[in-house]
Amino acid sequence: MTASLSIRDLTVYYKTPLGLVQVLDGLTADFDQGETVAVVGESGSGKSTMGFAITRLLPPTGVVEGSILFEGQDLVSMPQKKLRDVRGTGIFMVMQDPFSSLNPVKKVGLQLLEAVQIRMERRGEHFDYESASKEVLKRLYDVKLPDPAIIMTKYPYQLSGGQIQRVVIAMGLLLEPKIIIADEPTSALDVSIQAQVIALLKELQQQYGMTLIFITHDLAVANVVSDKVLILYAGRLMEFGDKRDIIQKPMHPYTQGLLKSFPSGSYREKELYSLPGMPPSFFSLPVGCKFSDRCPYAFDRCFKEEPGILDVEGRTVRCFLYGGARKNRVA
Amino acid sequence: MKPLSILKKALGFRDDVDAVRAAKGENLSTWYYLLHKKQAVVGIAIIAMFLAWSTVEGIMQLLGGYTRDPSLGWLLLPHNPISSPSLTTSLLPPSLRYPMGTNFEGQDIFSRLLYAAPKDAFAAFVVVLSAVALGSILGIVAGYYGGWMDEILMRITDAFLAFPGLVLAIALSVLIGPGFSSVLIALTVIWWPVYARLFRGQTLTLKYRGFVEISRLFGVSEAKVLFRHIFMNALDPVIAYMALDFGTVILTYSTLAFLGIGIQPPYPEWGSMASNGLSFFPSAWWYTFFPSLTILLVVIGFILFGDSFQDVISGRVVD
Amino acid sequence: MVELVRTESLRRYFAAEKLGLLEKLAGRKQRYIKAVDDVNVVLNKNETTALVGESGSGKTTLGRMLATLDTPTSGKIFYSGVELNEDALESVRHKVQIVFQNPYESLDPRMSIRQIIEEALTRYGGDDRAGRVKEVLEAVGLNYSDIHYRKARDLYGGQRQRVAVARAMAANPEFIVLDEPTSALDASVQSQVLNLLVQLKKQYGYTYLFITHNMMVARYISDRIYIMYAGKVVEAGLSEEVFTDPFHPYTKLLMESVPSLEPTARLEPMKGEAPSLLNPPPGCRFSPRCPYAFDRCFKEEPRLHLVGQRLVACHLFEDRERRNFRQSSFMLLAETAVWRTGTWGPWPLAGRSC
Repeated sequence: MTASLSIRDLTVYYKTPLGLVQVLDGLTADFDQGETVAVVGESGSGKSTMGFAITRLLPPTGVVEGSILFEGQDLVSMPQKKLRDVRGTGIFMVMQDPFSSLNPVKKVGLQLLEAVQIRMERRGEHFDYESASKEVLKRLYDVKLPDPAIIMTKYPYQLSGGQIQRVVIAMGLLLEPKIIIADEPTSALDVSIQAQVIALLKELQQQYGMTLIFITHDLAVANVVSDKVLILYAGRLMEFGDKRDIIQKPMHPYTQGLLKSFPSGSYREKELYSLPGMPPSFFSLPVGCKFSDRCPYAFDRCFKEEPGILDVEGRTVRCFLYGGARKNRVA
Repeated sequence: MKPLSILKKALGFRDDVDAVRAAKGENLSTWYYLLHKKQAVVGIAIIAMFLAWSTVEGIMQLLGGYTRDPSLGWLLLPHNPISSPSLTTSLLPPSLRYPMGTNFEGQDIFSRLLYAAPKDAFAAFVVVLSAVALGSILGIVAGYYGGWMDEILMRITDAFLAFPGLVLAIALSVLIGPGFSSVLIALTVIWWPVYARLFRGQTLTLKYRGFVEISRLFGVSEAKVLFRHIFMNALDPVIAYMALDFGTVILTYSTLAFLGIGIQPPYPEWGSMASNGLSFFPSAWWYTFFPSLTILLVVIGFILFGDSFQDVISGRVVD
Repeated sequence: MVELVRTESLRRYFAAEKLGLLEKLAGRKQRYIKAVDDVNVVLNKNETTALVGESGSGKTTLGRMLATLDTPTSGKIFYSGVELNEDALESVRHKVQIVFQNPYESLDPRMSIRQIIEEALTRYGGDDRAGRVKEVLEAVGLNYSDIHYRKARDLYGGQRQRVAVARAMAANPEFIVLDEPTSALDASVQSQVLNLLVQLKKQYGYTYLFITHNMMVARYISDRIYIMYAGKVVEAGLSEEVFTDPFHPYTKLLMESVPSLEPTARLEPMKGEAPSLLNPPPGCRFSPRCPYAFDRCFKEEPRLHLVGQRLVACHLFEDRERRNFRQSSFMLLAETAVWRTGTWGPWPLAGRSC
């Protein structure tokens, strides 16, 4: 299988009044066509920054190094003009706040028709209003919105959060992208609506063979949605591999801690496991391994030296506890 | 940036300590960020010079009045700003002796500008602070209690806002009678409604914040809640607006003087100087140019500061 | 088992729109959002009761009313048997505290941590206020000398929420409403705060009302649970029972919607969205989304049926309730009690000590 997106040594800095802050450090990962990867991390792990770096939507204070290869082209060095052709039809992003991705003063139907128009223009096809409207209606039906024809005549503010997120997903379908990046698309939604949106994304991803990068803070959501899981901590890839392996047999102490601290059972039976300390702050990271200050297994070396990424039993881990061949970095 | 580091030291900032705090990920004070913005530093420098001079000169003038020796008021100035008219020095262009030239009465414009500074500073502070005092009380009460209280107070505010400010001020100062204090009263009357609106808006969002609601459970008295939680937290955006407003008050005050309301001759005032000079424009360009430039400079100083303050408080929370 | 808080057909309606004078004269009728509609709950002393629901279920409104921050439109609240009214308000407020979801919103950004806690001691009888501040900050696991001079924005999310808990403890309350106290926190910090809450309850004998939308958290923290939907209680009972064998179709579907860490986990989303509270559907409010709904559900609103130790607002359980009652005369008594007062409980925790 060929990688539809390969990230090499992706490093992102933000310029702040207090100097440069490194938010992502040497991230290297391959995402295959048609698979779902969940990127899991706490606040300050750099997970959203990763999504914005791939779509090149970082604020002007962001500095990106490394390379992001998409269809043989490097997105990092790509000029803005060319990028515009990749966004939408190449890579589509679903934001946490769906209202921010729609124009508040245009009717939903019109915005969806525009999406069709953009796709057809980029492919050099002829745009025809009749067939485009039919396609929009079909996609709105696909995302299980009741009364698609009525939804088309509404403004974004007239719809509920769950409905809007579906409209955005329908827009993604109309653009027929290779990759969909969903940045916490369900964390503003209710449990029952979250389940609907996740099931829908999963179903559509399988149907259309897109690559889905699902950014979330919730391991349980990652478990139900993904084929692969990528664990980020303090801007570093800590563990990356098959979902079943990682959730059932986590290797990195951080992943283990996260899984163990997931609430289960009742307080009468046991105390919850909890990782000591606080989520990382980019201003005060430990010298060696960035997780060493919270790690129950940390030994001398962890505090002095930062581990590299290792290939262990078909997955990638950044931890000194595991031997194995050092992963060859592709320059 | 040598002077900046001196200023920082004088204000008690220590780069080494701040660097450590920043390294711990703590948010530093508003002033720390302000001093890292160039336009804020320029604004602060202009305001500081203006205020420092106004204080010194104001004290001298007060002393002069107290000791019945008005010449104390121009002790620090190169010339007597209110000397009796002299044709020999009338309308001299800028020179080493008269850096900004002289006016028709033969008085030194530079000295007159410096002499007038404390009155402008005083006017700006009195008007803005009394407007804030009045506006905050009415705005917070209206916003916090709502209902008919809100309706009544806001309709009154609207009525004041509906009048063109300048016309109202002119009418009022004519009504009260000429003089410095009547201008101040007139300006305050047209100035408070904006602050009432501002405070009401802030109060409406603040009163549903957790810390305001929860203080009721602790039995904290209402007056304390209004001051400690609402007034203090509403202040940040108000300060940004106030900084911009100081400039506007000086401008309006000068406008009134320009129209001949307020300070009476021979005492100098920036606005009236600019207005008098206009009749000699462009042959004696300096007469109107330098007073206008001074007004512009001070107003810009306040705007630069207010603008960057606004930037800092709205962008300070980095999560 | 002593009852601490009880409500009787509590209602809270919000005006849906502000009508102008002209509209009132034109005879336009005021419409209401029925956020909490006829709710009876009983909270027992030294127990944690979880209130679970999605947005718009009325759980936060109910919590705010119990914390005396909001006044019911109708219905009564009793604290230790005393009805909450204007006269009793001050004395009740001595015993009630609340912790909000977002500690950033609930801690005054201009005050230091010490000032924030001291404010909670306004009514505190003890002499040594400074000592009390230190005591509660240390009780929630914070280092007093490190933290007392800081502002809330200098703290991490978990620390902020600990400060909010310390403030709630400061004035020695009996009853603490916890309104989604962990949902703004990271996963690794959430478990720290949950453990802390459990430990504090044991140590100080607090009674909690834990409001949450997270089923797993509710299951972990609570003894008893109320599930709310569209302003009504749909199911209530002992947490273990409700979680192992949910009765109400909504509870069942809600549990299937919760993602889990099981390798075979699959989501079974329920259809539709929460109803409008302005015009709730006639009959059972869940009927439009319910896979088991039959004719009666669309016409008649179900009352709470007592099945075993459980209350379920569903027509499907009417028969089971009757069978239950026939078996036990004690239950018959309970039924009459429910019928007469419109309320229920307290009832013993079977075979368990707390």
